[in-house]
Amino acid sequence: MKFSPLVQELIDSLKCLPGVGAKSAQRMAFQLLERNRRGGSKLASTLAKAMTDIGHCQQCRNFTEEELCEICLSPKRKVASTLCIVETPGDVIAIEQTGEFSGLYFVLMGHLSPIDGIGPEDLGLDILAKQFASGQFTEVILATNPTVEGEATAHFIAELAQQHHVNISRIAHGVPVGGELEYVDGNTLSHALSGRKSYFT
Amino acid sequence: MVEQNAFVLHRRPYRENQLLVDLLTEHDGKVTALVYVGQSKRSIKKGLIQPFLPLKVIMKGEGVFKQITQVDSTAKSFSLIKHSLFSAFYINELMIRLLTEHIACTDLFLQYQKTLTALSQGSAIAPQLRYFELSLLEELGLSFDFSPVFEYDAHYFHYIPEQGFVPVYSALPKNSEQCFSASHLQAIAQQETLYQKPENTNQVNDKEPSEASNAETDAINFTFKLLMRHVINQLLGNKPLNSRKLFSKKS
Repeated sequence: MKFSPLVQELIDSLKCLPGVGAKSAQRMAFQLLERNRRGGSKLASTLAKAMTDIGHCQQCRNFTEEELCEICLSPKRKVASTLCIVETPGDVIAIEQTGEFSGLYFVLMGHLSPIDGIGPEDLGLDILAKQFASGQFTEVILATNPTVEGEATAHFIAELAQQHHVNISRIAHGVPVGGELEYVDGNTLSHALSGRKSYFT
Repeated sequence: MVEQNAFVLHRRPYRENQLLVDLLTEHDGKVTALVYVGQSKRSIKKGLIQPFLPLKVIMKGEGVFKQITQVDSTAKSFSLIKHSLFSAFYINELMIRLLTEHIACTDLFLQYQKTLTALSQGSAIAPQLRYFELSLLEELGLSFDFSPVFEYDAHYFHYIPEQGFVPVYSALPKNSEQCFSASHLQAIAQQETLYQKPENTNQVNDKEPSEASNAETDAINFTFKLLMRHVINQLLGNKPLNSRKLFSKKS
C-alpha cells in the first residue's frame, strides 16, 4: 500500500530531523495529522519563519533574527574586555547559566575537523581576527571542548590571538562535580592532575 | 571476541547515545564499529573514544559495523600540539581515505605508534611523515623502484603509476609536481634504504646532511615531499585532503 503523495512528502520531510528514520517519521506524521493539527500548523509556520529570518549575529555568530544578538547589544557587555570562544550556541547557554561570565562570546559553530571537511574558513575566523584587531579585548578565553579537535581549534585561535597581543587562557579540564575518581577515565584524571592549582590562592 | 590494541582514527555521533568509530586495530586493520556512550556509570566513557589514545578494545558482531563491548586505555594519550597535531590529523585522514576495511596491517599499526611517539616527542615532522607515507604505500602494495633513476642518463624523471620512473629528455621541465630531478631522486633512493631499516628511523636526519649542504638537503626533502604528494594525490582521486588546509593557512 502506498500513502497519498502529500502524506509521503510529509514523512520524507520529517526524516531530515536528526535521529529520525522512516518509522519515527511515519509516527510523527500520523500523530500530527490525527491528533494535533493545530500544533502541526504552528510548527509549520514557525519553521518557515525561522528558516527565512534567523541568521547569524554579525559580531558573535550566534543565531539571531536581528543584526546583533541580545548579548552583543547589552550596554554592560558592549564594553567588556573579555571574549569567550565556544563551539556551539548551546555552549553559550551553558556558560550563561553559571552566571560567572559577563563578557562577550564568539560562537565558532563547530570545530576544526579535517576528516569531516571543516576547515578554518568554516569557523568565521576572519570575523574573529577583526575583533582581535579592534583592540577591545584584553583576554580571550578558549572554551572549546576538551577533544582533540577542540584542542586543535583552540591552538589555531591562540596563534591568531597572539599576533594581536591578547592574553589567552584555556578553560580547565578535570573531574566533574559529584563525580567519583574511580569512574573517571585516565585521560581526564591526568589532565586534572597536571592542571592542579595551589589550595591557598 | 579477542582483545586487541587499537587507535581511534575518527568518530561521529550516531543516534542518541552512540558513536560511529573508525578504528585502526592491530590485527584486523581498519574497522568501523559502534559504541554506546551513555550517561550511566557502567557505559563506556566518551573520554576514551578519542584519537591518539592507545586503547585495548574487544569487539563483537559479524555485520558491517562491529560493536565495541569493552574499551580501556593502555597508556597516556600522545600529547600532540601545534603542527604535530595537525600532522597526526593528516595521517588519520590518509588512512581513512586509503585503507580498505578488515585487512590486517600489523606493520602499519606499529609504524603508526612509532610515528605518534616521534611526533609527541617533538622530532622533525617531515621525515616522520615521509616514513609513514612509505609504510602506508607499502601496505597498499606500492613501493618505489628507483633503479631507472640510476640506469638512465636523464636530468629529470616523471613518475607514472604502474610504470614507475620514466626519464624525461626534453629541455623544459623543472622540478615540479610532475618532474623530479634525477640527483634528488638518487639521494632519496639512498635515504629510502635508510628509511627501510626501522632502527635507523631517528637517525635519518643526522646521516644525510654530512656531505650535502643544508640547502641541498632541504631541496631533496622538498622533492621527496612533492613525489609523495604526487603519488598520494593520484590514489586519492579528485577529492583533496582537508588536513592540508591547516598547514597552508599557517605557512
